[in-house]
Amino acid sequence: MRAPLNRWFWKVSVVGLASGTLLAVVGIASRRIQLAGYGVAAALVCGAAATALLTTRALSILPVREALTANHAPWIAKFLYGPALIASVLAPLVSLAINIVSKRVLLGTIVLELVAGTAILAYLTVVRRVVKRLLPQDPTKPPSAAKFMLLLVPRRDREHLVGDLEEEYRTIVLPEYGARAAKFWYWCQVLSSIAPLLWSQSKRIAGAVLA
Amino acid sequence: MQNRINKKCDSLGEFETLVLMAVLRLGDAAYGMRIHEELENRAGRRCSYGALYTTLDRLEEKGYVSSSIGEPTAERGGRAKKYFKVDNMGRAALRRAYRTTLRMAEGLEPLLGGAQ
Repeated sequence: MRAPLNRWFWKVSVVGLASGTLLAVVGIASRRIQLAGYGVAAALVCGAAATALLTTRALSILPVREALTANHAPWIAKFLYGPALIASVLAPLVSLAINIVSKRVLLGTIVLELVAGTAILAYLTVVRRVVKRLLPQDPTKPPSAAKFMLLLVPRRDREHLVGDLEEEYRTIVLPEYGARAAKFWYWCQVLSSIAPLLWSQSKRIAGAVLA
Repeated sequence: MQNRINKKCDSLGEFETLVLMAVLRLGDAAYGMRIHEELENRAGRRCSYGALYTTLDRLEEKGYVSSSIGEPTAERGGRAKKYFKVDNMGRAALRRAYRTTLRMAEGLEPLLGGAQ
């Protein structure tokens, strides 16, 4: 039973390697980091640690920061770069070690996914919390978690919406009501702004599909 | 059926009318934050930026307003402003809505306790 299963993994691995690498290369060449991300995701789903290893290494060597900056606003690029870097450095190393020791492809891939996921979670929670405590806080900056939520807003309105919110936060709300109230106001605006924009976007997409 | 759809597209909702008026009043300085401020100060309407941008997008799709991107500024964290301008179709729609309101309100002043 073991041999056919291994052969099946091998075939899927080859297909995953081909499609994942192709997507990653096309994504980087056309400066679309999302497409490159799909390449890595394809590799991971295919269950081949070797595939994931190659593509994540390729992504870490290629200019990820530049690609992110070209595709996103500076604050989004900055936010995405940390997890991308941690995942691309840690995940392949652990995956490689597991593969060498156990020679089990599937186990290596599962660990790879776990490590990548844990690295992102660690970055989002522990590291950011420690940095927050160590560094003096800038009250003129809106809450970054709320800003992160604005990634849900459709791209056509995102930049202007974030700019308007930040301008009103800095020039009107913060001087008038103080940091705590201003942060609360920002959160309220973000939460109440996402729903109508998402609803409008989904109606637009549904209209385009039905037409 | 098509006629009904066209009529629906031509008509302006209350919030759309307010937004169009704010954009018209602000002229060259009509961008998201200013429109939001104008709606709050003049009309007493508190709305989210999401609702405002949804309405502006809809008005743009109808051809009532057009938009252009301005220069990025430091107080916006280096983000550009999106300026809006009322187009001729928008002016015509606003004029129609205004006239309709005037016609409907004609003779109602005593019942409303005066125009002011």
